[in-house]
Amino acid sequence: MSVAAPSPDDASLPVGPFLRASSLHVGAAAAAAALRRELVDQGRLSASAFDEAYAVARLTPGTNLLAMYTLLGARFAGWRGAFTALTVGTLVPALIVVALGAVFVAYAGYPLAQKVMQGARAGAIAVFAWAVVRLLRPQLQQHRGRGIAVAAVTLLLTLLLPIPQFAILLIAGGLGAVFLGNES
Amino acid sequence: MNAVVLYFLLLRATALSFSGFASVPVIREDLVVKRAVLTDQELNSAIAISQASPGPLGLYVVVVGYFVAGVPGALAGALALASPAILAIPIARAVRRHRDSHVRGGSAAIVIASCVLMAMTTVRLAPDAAPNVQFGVLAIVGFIALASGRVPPVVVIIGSACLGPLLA
Repeated sequence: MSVAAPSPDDASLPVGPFLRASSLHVGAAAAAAALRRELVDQGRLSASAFDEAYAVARLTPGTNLLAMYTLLGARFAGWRGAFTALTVGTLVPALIVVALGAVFVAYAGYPLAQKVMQGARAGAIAVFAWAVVRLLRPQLQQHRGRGIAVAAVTLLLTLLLPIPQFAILLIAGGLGAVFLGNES
Repeated sequence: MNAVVLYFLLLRATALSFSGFASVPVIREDLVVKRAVLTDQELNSAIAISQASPGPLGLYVVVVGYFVAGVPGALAGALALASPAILAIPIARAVRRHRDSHVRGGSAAIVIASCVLMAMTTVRLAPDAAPNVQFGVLAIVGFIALASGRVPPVVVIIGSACLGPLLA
């Protein structure tokens, strides 16, 4: 059933779904799916409004999931809803992860903890490397030659010029806005 | 390190990334290589801890902040993680006005460039993450498990952590 998005003036933010999505689900995909179930399937928001927020979040710098929370919050209650959803989505998992970090620091000197963390770090590098493949593959499929050119320019800039990596990203963004933006 | 300075360094990295881990190369360059306030081991540990916890991938930034400057650093990390999300509202307006092609092109190029930098960072982090053959094999098995699409990252992290004492 399609449900019209509530106007920011006449609705308040349902905090519960954001709280549960950010505290019970590992990874952005699981959190987004849980939020969709609670908001769309239960008729609080239209599917098109949710999908638009999801798509725009993919274009927003930073963490896509938090951008989606912000947009959905704004749908329900304007800027107040945006800030509330963003705060819930950031602070709840941040508190959990800081607690885990504190445990790590407290037990870092124990040999068993060191071995456990060595294993976890090996797993983390696998997750990190897989993230590269998962991110790059659809971009190269979509942009092909120009995408490979952007990758090559990035590699050359990184290897040949002593410029900071954020500057390389800015240059790539500028090139992409001109050359990849006109592609489609 | 001052938490305000840390916030702006982390913000610079998060604001130029389009996925959770895409900020890792810039953060490594700033905090590990240039300022030496963080080690590769701590950066790897931050990634591992964040993957075993609810929330988005980019949450490792909060742990990095905590390792560098304690609770104020964690707060700086959380703010740096959240701040770029505000940009979603003006971007949504631009998209609705059909001026999104340049935004899409720019963000796609930043994702591609980020992947190149992330691949180079993977190579630089690998010696700490896999210091011997056993842990190298563990990382490769984890990668294959993820590529199969049947194993979520949290299982790879927790499984690897459980195997750590047997392999060390």
